[in-house]
Amino acid sequence: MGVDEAKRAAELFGGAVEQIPLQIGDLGRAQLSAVIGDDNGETCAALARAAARHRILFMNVGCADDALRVRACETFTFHVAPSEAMFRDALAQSGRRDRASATAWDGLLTRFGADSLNQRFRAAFGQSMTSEAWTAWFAVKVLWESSLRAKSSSAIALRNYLERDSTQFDGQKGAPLSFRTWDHQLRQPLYVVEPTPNGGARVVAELPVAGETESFRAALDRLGTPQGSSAPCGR
Amino acid sequence: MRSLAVRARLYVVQVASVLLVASSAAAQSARFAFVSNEGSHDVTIIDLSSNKVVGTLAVAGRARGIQVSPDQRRIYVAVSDDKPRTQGSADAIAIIDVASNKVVAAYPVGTNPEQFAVTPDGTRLYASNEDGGTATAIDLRTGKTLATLVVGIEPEGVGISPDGRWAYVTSETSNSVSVIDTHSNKVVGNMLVDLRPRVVVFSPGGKRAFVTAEVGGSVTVIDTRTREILATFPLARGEEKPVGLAISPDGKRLYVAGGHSDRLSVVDARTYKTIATIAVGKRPWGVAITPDGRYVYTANGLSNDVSIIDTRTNKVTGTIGVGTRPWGVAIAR
Repeated sequence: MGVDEAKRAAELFGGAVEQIPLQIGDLGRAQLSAVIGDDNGETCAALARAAARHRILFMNVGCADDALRVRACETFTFHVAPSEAMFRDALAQSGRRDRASATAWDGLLTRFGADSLNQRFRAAFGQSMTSEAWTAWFAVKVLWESSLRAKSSSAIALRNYLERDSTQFDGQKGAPLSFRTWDHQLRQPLYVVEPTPNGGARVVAELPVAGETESFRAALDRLGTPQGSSAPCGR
Repeated sequence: MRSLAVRARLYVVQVASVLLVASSAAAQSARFAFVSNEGSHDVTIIDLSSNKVVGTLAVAGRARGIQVSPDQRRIYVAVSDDKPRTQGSADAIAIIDVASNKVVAAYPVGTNPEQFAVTPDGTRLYASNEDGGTATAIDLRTGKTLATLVVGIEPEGVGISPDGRWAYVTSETSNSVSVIDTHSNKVVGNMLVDLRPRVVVFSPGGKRAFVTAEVGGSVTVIDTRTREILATFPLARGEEKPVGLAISPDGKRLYVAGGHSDRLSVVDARTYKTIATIAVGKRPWGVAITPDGRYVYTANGLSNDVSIIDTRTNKVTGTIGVGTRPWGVAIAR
């Protein structure tokens, strides 16, 4: 669905978008500017290294490993998937522990346009949008919107655009979302869900809860690794 | 659609006595505000000379976008059912005759209509279809669909230039504004604006268009001749959630409803500086200004009321309880 929407958005402005299934060995192919993956820490680490070597963007949509953001943070890698540290902070801030878990998205969210996105997803695939589906959809959106706004689809132009302080995106989560310069992690609200007696799950909290005078960005930086705990990513 | 109109008339009978008062007041050129209520599926009528509710008119579903016809004789209300993505019997533009305060027709405009605009000659209406990714143009004399146009993703706001030539449609997911040539009924251009564009309003002279961006926390200003972005200015350093927007009749002031911030921002339309930030009811969505520019009315979705703001003092001078989840306000001369 992300790719379909990217194609439609590109058509509005006379461009084109193509989705190509890839293996890690394909990353040296000419004219590739970005790859989106994966769901396993080892593959993510290998993709991050390969992306740096070939100077193409790697959008991590499935790996939460803190090590990918801090110790092994690569300059061409951006993390749409929340980190383990963000999940831990969200759970701690919610005050719920026993059976609760934190997630990037829930198919029953309604506010801030989440209902429209969930309805579009359900109509396209006949099932609820999961966190993994949201991160993949959002990664595609970040790429097409960045290439339109940066007027380039080269990996370096995209990286520079994503690192710019004024760059932000709408992920149907209400707050403007942006990438941290120090760990290339997407700032985003998380949702705490608890199981229901009938075997489902329901959202019981949205984190962070912003203070009266706190900016969106400052509040979102209370989830995950704070600034100063690592050198700027890959530099 | 026939059954919708009949049902609405039955409801009208219940409020006929109060509406008689309203009609006679209308004859003395008193003005009325019409408030669409998304939750209670009706339209609240407020007499602006007394700021009292003088009637309530039921419609067949969630009432959202609301506009007055250029000749002031009709009120158009976007009505939708609770089922997105399918064209239900309630999905329509309901047309209220101001003199009789009756729903006189309901025209289909595709699925889930939310916002729309009417051409200055009163002959055509352009509506956004959020879940369909389209905009629908209809002929208001016949109710016939003239065109269904592909615009951006999650179309929302619709504005028409004062000369009637251009219809602008904002799309919330693609962060775009599509330009429709109303002569050819074709999309002739697209512009990227700030995040989650909600509402587009032309300046009275038509040279500029203002687009609120709910997630961007800003207003984008478009040069309508060159279709270039003149400026994107943040409200409250980007921490505002701008949705509805009204421009003063002299074009000097913008009144921007802050949605989840529960505020109304008053902005100088030339310098883009915020002149005042006014606490109103909860989640102000729609906003309208009286033709003389003296008062602004906001529809407050979560406090089920309307705030009245005096534009000379920039203070709230009154609050009027309306239906459930008020969405928009339209003011008739």
